[in-house]
Amino acid sequence: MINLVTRNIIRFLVLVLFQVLVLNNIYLSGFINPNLYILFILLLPVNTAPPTVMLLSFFIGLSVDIFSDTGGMHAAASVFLAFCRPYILKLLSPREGYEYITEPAIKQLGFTWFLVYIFMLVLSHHLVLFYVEVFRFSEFFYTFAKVLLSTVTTVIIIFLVLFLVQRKKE
Amino acid sequence: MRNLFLFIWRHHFIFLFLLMEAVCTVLIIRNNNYHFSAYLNSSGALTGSIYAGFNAIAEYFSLKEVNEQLSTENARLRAKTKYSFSVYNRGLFRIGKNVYRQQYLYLEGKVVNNSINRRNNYFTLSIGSEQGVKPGMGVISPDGIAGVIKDVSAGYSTVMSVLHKNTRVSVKIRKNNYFGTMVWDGTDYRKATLLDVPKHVELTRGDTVITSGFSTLYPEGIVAGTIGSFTKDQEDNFYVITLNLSTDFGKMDFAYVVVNLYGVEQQELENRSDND
Repeated sequence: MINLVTRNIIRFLVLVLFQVLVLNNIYLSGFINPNLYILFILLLPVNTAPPTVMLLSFFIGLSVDIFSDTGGMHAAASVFLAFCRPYILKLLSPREGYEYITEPAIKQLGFTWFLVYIFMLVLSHHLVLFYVEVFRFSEFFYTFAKVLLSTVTTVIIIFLVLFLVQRKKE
Repeated sequence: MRNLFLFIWRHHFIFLFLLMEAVCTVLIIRNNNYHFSAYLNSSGALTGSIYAGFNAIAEYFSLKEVNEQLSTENARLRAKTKYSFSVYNRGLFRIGKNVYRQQYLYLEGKVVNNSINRRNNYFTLSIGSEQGVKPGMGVISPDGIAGVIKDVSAGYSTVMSVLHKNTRVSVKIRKNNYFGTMVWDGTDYRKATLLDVPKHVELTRGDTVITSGFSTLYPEGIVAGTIGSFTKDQEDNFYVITLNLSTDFGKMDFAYVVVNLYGVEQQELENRSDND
């Protein structure tokens, strides 16, 4: 078992490279671009201090920004996600708390918990990302459709990756 | 004062959030600012070489198409050389230094990174300031116009694609020379919008739209696209025209940077008359 810090560093590098080299070249029906890299933030241990999560989010967002020439849009969206994360964790906390759990995993917390957790956070990220990118309200509903479709796509891809990776650990 | 610190400490998470979003906002604004040279982008040494390495593998998959594209272009250029014209009236024509001057040069670059699915798209070329690229130069693809150089490093340059919120290209309709402005509305990477063409002009679907040559970016006559559909705006006197872009941004492999040898001279002159 690799220790927690090394595992997260590897995850950071792999997800950023996969995002900029592979996923940024994928356009489903012309405009849906899955953002898998935020899986890094979602999978940080539950008891990580929120300010730490926020700094890490900023850096992973900024890394993606540097590669895709988007200034600080991914960083802004990721920081917002990190801001929402503690509140959503509190909202969804199971009766016995998270004490014995390190990283969020489908097996321990259940499929429904995981789906709600990921969907809400991905939605918060994509809302900021797409509205900052467009930055005008004349295209409001078109952008909103884009947000919803991209959120669903990202959630599906996150689950596919988790099923592939988390099964192998057993 | 002590209470203030206590207040900040109690809500440090929210303050950290606001601080970091402020940093992000500064980064976004710097990036959008056209002349502000941002250094955190894909023309940097590390990011540029990662993209170039990955592209070296990926380019094999499109070799066939690139070859076809280049040979069509070669054929078109061959038709324009001096040897393709026969002299039929020696008395009247004289081709020489006194009649023609070279105004445009082209620098060829490979597209190592490209995006089409965002509201504001950019691509990266594998040539930079060492090859003579400067911010603000126009970029064309073998099929038509492509964008404007935004930022350069020694070996790479980033290009603001035509698929961008701030795109405004001065174009004209080839058959009758009426000019308009081309913008991109962000919905489809194969289509753009042509504005400011007066309603009395006769249009047909399929008319070719070319650059006007008014700006210093592109030479006159570079194809921008063809007219796909058009409607008359009820409120004002102009058409709303949808263009089918001639450049397929989805599979761009090469692009040419346009060096306008008299561009600076034209701009300086125009600025002088603006100041009056």
